[in-house]
Amino acid sequence: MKNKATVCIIDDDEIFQFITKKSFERLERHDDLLFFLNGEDALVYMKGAIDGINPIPDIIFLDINMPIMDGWDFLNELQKMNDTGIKLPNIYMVSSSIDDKDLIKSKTFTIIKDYIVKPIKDVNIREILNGLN
Amino acid sequence: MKGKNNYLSLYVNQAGACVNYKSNSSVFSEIIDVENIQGNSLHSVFKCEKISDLIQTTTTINDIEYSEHVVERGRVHYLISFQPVELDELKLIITIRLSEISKGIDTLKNNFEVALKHSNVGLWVWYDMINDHSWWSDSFFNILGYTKEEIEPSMKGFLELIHPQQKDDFVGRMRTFYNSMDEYISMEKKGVEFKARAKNGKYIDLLFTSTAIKDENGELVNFSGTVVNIGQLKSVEEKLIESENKLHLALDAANMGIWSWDITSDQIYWSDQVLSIFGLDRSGFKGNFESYLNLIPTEEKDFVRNCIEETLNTNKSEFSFEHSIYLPSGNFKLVYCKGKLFRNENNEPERMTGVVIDISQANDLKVLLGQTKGRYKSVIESMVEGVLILDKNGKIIDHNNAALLIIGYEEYDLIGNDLYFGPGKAIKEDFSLFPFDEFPGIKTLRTGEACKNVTLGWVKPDKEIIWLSINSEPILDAQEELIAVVCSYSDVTERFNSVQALQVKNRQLEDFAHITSHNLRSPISNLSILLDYFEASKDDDERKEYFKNLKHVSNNLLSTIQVLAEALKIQRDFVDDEIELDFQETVATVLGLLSGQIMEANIAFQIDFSNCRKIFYSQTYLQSIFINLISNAIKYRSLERKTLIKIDTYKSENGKVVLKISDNGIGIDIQKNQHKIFGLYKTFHANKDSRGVGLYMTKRQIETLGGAIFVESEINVGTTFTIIF
Repeated sequence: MKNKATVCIIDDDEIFQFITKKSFERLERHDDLLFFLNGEDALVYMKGAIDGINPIPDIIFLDINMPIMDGWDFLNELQKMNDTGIKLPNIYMVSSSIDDKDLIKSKTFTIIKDYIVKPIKDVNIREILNGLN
Repeated sequence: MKGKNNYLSLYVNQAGACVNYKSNSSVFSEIIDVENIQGNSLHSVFKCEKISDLIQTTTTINDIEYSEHVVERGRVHYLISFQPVELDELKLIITIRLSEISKGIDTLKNNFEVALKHSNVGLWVWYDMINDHSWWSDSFFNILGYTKEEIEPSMKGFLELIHPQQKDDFVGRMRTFYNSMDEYISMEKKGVEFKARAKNGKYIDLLFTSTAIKDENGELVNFSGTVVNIGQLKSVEEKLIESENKLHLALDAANMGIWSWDITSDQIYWSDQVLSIFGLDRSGFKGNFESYLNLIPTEEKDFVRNCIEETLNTNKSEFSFEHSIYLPSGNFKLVYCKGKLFRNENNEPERMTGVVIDISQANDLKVLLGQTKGRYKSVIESMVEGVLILDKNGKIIDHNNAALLIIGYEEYDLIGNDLYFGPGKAIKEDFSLFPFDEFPGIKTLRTGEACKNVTLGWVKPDKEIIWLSINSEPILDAQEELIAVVCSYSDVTERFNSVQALQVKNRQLEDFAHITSHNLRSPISNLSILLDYFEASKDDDERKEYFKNLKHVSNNLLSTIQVLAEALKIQRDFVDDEIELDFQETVATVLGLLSGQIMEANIAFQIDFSNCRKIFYSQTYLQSIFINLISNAIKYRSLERKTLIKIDTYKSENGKVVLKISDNGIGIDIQKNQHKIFGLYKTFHANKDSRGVGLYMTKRQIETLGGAIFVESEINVGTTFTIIF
């Protein structure tokens, strides 16, 4: 397991953001957590990452329903932006719904590693972190 | 032969011989051989027997007395006077003059010639048949285009000018004429028509007449006559013949014949086409009214007789009817007769003319569609569906009453029109235009395939939409050829509208289910983790933090449930409080509720309800709509300029009430957020700053009552919401 990961959490639910932060803490890890309330803000960061300004995250937790730019739009834009073809991080689509439509749609994106349904607890995060490397 | 006093005087001695002569004209050389006068006995020098006989008779008398005699020689009259002289050398002076009558004839002839000169009539006289000399009038020369110097008037010369194909015929006629001495040449005393070559080489049409001129003994003297230039007449005649031919062709093609009935003499003229329609020849058909009636089957005879008699006896001037006729073969044929009556000045029927049209073939289609008109008619009249029958060209040839009633076009005439028989527009289920060549009837006409259950919306001029379910079927004849199409349709407007409404409801419910699963699950999942972590936490500060968040979530959950409950309530209660509302009053109330925000933000309003003051609507909804949209405008105002919110209403062309609320705030990026503006987000905050709720609720309220809401916006310019109620 990697010692220190850079993790992006893109979700407009501040409570979820709080919980996720706490989850990482309970794992006694010191990862870099980057929180974004919507896709647009996250995209700005990713641009920087692709251009080499910011560190490229290792994991992205991406919510679907967000104001301004939702999860799907973020993915589209991210794919378009990645013209240099750098290796993108593992993207986990997170959702509070078990809507089949969303699940099926997620399969159409090759850059999605997996589709996760909330709640996401610390144990889930540990598994995901193990999946790195 | 001009009219001066021409004379010849002969001086005769005692022995009876001519010793001297005197003359002022050579014209007398026709009758006298002046060279041989002197020394010869008188009567021998005269060429004319009549004159020499006269001279002989007179001069042998011993005591000659003065006398005057008129001798006719053809057209010329000679006045011969015998003057006795008491002289030794001379016994007698004979003076020959041209008679005044001759002179008169000459004058007349001249005058006549002048009159003829520019006419189309030329005169000719064949005065010397032995030596073939003719006299032609000036007009004769003119007609042929020659001058007198260019051509010698003679019969031979004339014959040369006749068209080679007609020459023999002409000569033959002349010969017959001369042999028979008839007064007129040619058939029916009308003259002979032929073509003659004019000087310019062109052939002109002439009419030639000839008269024999005889003397008192019935002896032929000469022939004279006329030629008439009938060129113009010929061309008119040719045109007439041509149009007559065309008429014949047209009548033939139309299977139509002409007849004309002279009522007073009961003689009917029938054209050849009529006879061919009747299958008769001229000899076999007497051609009077009774014989016409005899062609008609007994059961129809009275009908026809009555029709004609009615026309004759009343003031009618026209009639038309259909009837069958017997053909010689024993078969029947259906004909259509149409006629017009002409009356004389005493208003008595004088003549009737009309046409007969063979309509047997036109009847076949109707016969094919049903054995008797009545039978199929009653079948389609009994149907609730509208039925139209189209012919091969897409024209409506028959229909039932329901066809008109269903669409509400009772006053329109369908027969002979195509499927667009009244004003309106055809649309598909998605409200897009329904192209004409996709109409079921038209498709069947083109392809021969039946169409089933096609839904078509007909938008009438008053914007009312009638939804029809249409079927169309081809009708084939015995050779499997398409001869007609039957279209039937029924009114499914109610069903369509309720389906539409159900579809809306469905979407709303799906929406609702989707939202519920997101919006409830989210806080609940948060809740469960927080409780877990809270329980596991040993740290007081940490626990406090957890607890704070727990409260947050629980509030969130509560407000979510409230929103969803309200959404449900909208579904249930929507019909209850619709009343006539005044826009001004409603806005005033709302502005009162929001007065705090308004004053704080220093907002100006521009309100205009002059184009539409009232609406029949739900009071709670209308208030809610105003509250949501106005607070939205306030929330998203620009801080760089004074906020102005404009509200106005008007009626659309369909008669719907439209409300517009626009602001000059920070605007929304429509490109990005088009579908999400009215969506529902899972984060509901109890405070007023939650954007998702208001617009979502507003949209649901409007749509539940059958309306729509649209938004236009530009970043940093402003936003306009348009609601169609």
